[in-house]
Amino acid sequence: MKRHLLLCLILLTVLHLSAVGQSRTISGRVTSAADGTPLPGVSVVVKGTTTGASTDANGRYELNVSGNPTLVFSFVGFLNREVPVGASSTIDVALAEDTKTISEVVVVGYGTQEARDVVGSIASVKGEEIADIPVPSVESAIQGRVAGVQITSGSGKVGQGIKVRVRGSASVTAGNQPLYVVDGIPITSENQGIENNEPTNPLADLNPNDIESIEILKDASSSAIYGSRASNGVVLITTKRGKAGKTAFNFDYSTGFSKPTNKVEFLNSAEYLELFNESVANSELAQLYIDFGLVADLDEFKDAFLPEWRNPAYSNWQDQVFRTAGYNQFDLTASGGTEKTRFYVGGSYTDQEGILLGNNFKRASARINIDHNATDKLTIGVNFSLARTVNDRVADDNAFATPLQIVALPPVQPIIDPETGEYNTNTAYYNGLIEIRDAFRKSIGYRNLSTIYASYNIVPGLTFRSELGLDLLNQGENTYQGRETQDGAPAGAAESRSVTVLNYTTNNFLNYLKQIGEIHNVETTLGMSFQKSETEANYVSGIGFPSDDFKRITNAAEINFGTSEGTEYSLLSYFARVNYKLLDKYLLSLSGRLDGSSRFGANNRYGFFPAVGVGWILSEEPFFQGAEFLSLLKLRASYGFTGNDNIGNFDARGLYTSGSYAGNPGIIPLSVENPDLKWETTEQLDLGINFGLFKNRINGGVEYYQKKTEDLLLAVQVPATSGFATVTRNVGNLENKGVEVTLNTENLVGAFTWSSSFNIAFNRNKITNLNGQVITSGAVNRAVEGQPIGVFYTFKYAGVDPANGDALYYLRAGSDETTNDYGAAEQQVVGDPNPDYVGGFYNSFGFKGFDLSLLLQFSYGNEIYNNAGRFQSANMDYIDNQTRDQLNRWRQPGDITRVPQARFGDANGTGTSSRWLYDGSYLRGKTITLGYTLPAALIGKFHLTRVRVYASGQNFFTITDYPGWDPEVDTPGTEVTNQRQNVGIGVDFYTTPQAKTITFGVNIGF
Amino acid sequence: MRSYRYILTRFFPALGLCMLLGTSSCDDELEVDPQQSIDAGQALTTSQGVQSALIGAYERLQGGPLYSGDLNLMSELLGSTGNLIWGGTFLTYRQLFQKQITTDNAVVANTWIRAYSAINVVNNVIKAVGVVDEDQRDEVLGEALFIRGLVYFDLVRFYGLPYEPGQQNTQLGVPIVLEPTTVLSNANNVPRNTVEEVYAQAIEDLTRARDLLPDRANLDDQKEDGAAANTYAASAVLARIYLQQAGEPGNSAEGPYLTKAAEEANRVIEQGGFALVEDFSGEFNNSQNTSEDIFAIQQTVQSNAGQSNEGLATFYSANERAEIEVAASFLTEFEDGDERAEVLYLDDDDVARNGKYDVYSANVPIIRLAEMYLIRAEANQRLGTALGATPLEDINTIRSRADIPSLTSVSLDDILRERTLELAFEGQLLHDLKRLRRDVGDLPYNAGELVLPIPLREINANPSLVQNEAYT
Repeated sequence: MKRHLLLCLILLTVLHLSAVGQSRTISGRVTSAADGTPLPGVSVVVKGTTTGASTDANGRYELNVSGNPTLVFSFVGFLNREVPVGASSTIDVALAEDTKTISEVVVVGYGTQEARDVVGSIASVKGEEIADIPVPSVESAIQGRVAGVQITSGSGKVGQGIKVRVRGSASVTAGNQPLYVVDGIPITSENQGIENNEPTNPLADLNPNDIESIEILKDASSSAIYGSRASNGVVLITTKRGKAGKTAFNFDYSTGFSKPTNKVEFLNSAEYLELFNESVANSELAQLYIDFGLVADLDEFKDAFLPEWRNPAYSNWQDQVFRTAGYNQFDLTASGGTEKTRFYVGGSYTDQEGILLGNNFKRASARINIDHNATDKLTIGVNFSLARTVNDRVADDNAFATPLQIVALPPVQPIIDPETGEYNTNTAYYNGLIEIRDAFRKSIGYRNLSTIYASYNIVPGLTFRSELGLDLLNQGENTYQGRETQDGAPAGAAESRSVTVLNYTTNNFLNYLKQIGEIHNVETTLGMSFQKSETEANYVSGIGFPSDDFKRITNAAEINFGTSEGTEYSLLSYFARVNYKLLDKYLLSLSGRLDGSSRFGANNRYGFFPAVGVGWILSEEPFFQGAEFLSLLKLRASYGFTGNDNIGNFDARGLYTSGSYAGNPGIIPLSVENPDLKWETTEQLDLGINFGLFKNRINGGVEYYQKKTEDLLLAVQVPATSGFATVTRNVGNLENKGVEVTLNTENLVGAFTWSSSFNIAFNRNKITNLNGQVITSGAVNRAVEGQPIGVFYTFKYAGVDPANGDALYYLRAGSDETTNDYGAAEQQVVGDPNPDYVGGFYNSFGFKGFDLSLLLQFSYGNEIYNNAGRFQSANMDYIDNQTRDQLNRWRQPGDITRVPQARFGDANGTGTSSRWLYDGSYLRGKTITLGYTLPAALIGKFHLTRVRVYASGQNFFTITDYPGWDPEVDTPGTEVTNQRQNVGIGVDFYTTPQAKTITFGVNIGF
Repeated sequence: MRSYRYILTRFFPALGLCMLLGTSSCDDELEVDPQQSIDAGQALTTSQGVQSALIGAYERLQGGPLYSGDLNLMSELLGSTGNLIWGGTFLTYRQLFQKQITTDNAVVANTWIRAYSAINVVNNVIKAVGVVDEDQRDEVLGEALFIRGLVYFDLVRFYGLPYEPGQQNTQLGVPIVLEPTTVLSNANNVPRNTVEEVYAQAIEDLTRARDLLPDRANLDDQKEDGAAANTYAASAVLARIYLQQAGEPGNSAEGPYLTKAAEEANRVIEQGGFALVEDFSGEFNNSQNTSEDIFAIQQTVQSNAGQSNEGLATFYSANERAEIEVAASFLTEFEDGDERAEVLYLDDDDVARNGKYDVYSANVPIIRLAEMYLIRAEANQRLGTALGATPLEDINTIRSRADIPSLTSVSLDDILRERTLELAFEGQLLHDLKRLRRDVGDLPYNAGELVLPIPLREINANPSLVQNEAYT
């Protein structure tokens, strides 16, 4: 199959080279019918083909045609015009403004469609909206810009994985990330990092400034054409392409700096000692030590735990690991071409330092997109991109070595050991500054995303397109921990891992566009796709290095671990879609995909995912013809099925793996066979209304959806007495229901412009059936029947007994009765990490050359569990430094407080409970940009077409009640399993806050 | 030119259509096999396959949750009344040290899971033993039974209330599973068996193992390194079980258990060909079995228990996380010059450490000859017999190796004290306290807090399980 396709493509490429059409050149100028001004960027297409050109800055175009075709002129906001060429070689056209339609074109699966005709739910973000935002990867840039897409950067460490949830979590233990498709090719987007560290983000290999548009397919009608991988939504990323005309160069440069959005206040040495002394004085543990004769008195007890209490230092540990981090980005692009050959080339370099010492992200990337009309019927093209990313990573949140765990160190311990002049090695826990000095974790990735395609216009209206896409990801990670570090002792430790993911896809499809009579429009897409992904990973670690100057495995005295693994999966698919339009106002879309996957059981290898969508453009009806104010009123509904195949490649198989003992090779049962394993299926209903008022100055939409997922791919806990702990089975159901509202307005037009865009999305997630399974993950999270995914399930804290300072807990759910006996209390659902609603509010202003834009982003009703609270906000139960709010502890009978009496080591209120559960709602100033474009007259002298300078702020303010570092928090944990990422959400654990970034930049066009 | 156009307009669409319709060869592309595992159905069809699975069973024993870590740590922490101190951050171990265990304690759960994983491997081996070459069949079966008996004995000691000599022992132990798992169904929701039944199963497995397993000299070449269980390892564990069953000194039912304990211990001493290592410290931190090791877990740098967050060296050794301290007061229990005290070394901060597991890649002795002398001495003393040797002779054998003066007479207290010093921090503490009916701090020997909870995940997954009373 593969071989056939390759052969076919090679044939095509060879054959077309000799092809020369019998063509002639048509040229002309396109102007606005209203005021006669030239219109740049108008699309001029030979009707029924994809052959075309667009107008230059003066409205001029040139086009090669053969025969006697009709040209179609189209431009956003204007009515299309069709002009037969006849014998003339010059065709000037005036386009009339379209007052009614939103004739924006959106990218859909295997094609494009006019936004007006779309019956599904598609959110669209244009490239210019996300240009120059100082974040490593593209998902961060669309946060808050589209309704129904929740994006969480779990941590402020640069280059790490980001969670994207389209209309809620559709799965419990299978993947919940959307399918990413770049220029028609599904790409590798899963974590490829070293085990036992936080997830990496392969999407960071894409340069956001290369992106023309991002479409997010949210409902079944738009996404079912991606079948078994569409339940979590599909993100279509389209890169920039050249347009015929003068070559336009663009140079962008920006520079700036980042700081943490917030710091948490910890005790200083005086406060610390006050609390420490009090805590020891109240301690039963200290008494026990004295009774056992381990220590003579309280002072000796203190000596045993913290000898520095006698001679305290004054250290601010938190300030040691944060920094003001630099940011630099360069972009240079050129695009243009002739009507026959168009190109876009771009190169970029980004250097972003993290706000934590030792954390950096650098990316150098290049892209070349070329389209060539070989003949008037055949277009071929290539997209080629290459990126190199270098990520200096830091240890995961759960490691003592993670920089921010340094806040646990008592302030009375010195940072520098006065005896040695070096970092103090006698700290209560590992001194993370040693890690920063003597260790590195460097990940270097090379990413090649390339596509070649050929598109052939068989007969007018019928086009065949063949695409072959390659996504080659190669990532190498090297780590070294010096002999002074915790894990590198006594003589250094190094790891080296490399992973190569070869992911290739071919799409072959026919597209047939036919107008039948005056009233019927039919567009049909029919095709097949084959995808294969092959992963090779090698890992080796070594210990024992001659000195810390030697850092590679070769230098190790002992190779202590090594693996080499390979895995693969394949997907064979057939897809079809029919869009039918009657009288330009009744819309029908039928689509479906048949997917065969290597991942599933022999009994359920193929799955079929159909969808139907209908639309009614009411504003076209005679009874609205008089309503001039109404530009568009469209009702639409869709219903269909999508799937989720995001599980291990061999979960359906009963397998034995290897395990050695004493150097002898052995085998161990790994899994129990399940030949019936199949996709999760999501049944989705979507109802929507779109409207445009006053020549579309006010437009927007409201949508309601219901997503019901059944046959969940659940990692079912089975009795471990069977020899197995979990098995993947199709068990359980969940649902997401929600409403999304989008409203765009042009408040002011004219010299002073002001436009606004508001979006808000309400999603309600509920697990309806887990067959009695209780799935735990993260700190205290659970998936429980009848509750939203990831609810916090633990003991419910009831504050402090004013009489004696004991921590109290509610005895039972729904009862006011409390107890000071932690073990006697009942665990219950205490909170929900899922927000009630999320959204964004964007405003942009323009006056003369000035532009100002402002994006606010918000999340409301989600709760955060600070899992580090039991150490850092635990009324000095141990020697960890405490947050300042712990000063408010109970001291004498009658004190009303939520902080129990300090009793060293007695665990008074330190057990896992809702004590550290907080409201995580926030409103954030996500992006603010103030720019000034220099007058054309001024810069024309220097042969420049555009010069804009700007200043921009990211995360420039945050309003929240969350007392931790930052409310946008979701510690990734060290397990990169789906279960951990889906269920263990909304947890803070010494997690790095987001960065507040200020940049200054310039865009120059010439 | 015309022909080229023909190709493009006729041939190419035809080719495209063929692709669209697909061919049966496309289906083959969905047949993808794993690269580092094999189908369960083919795994145990050969003699070599079954023997590989037996090695896999040892691998299960080796991990941190069982014999390279938690079985020792849980006993020492739960049994500690101040002779060692947990000073680390892991709440799981802190709960054990404080005797306040929650049902979701991950250490408690992982030990359970790993133990039954080992049992399932062994059950597979036992079921498939018929395909093993005849000359090796008894050996394979014997080793498998040894592992199963050993694991069930340790499970029942931790997850069930103490064995009461001469009683019915209807208190709940752990589920007994003797068949391999090939499909998962409601039949896997097995209930707990009684403590009596689990002890009986362990004794039956180990007795069969003892009778099936060859003498050490007859082990095949691959097992010459001493990694595999031999007939004396089965006897040694049986001696340990009988002593555990005997309960506190002086109870009316102890006799038959003590007799069997003495016999099994005597068999190991007399016939096993083992010898005490000359220097006490030489018994520990070795990469090969010593002359004293009856059964030891083999570790290599690759097996890795002890380098991450698990394993004995991780918690005991000053070179690693070092979260367990030995109380200075415990060191004063030793007589001057006792070599056994030297293994409990002082680190750079003058904190005492258990040096028996100081190298993460070194073997972990599970049962060693010194314990056989101690068992024989105790049993003989309590029975008033002198099977093999007098208690005084056995105790002086132990003392002279530790380089301390011989005694002229010996009491049961002397023997028990010698046992405490000899086997300190080797994972025996909790079980000894329980069998001798000694209190652990304020808790009586049979307190519910000294029994591990059935892991919450297991209770959730299996409705047939009953939780231990202290945790309901």
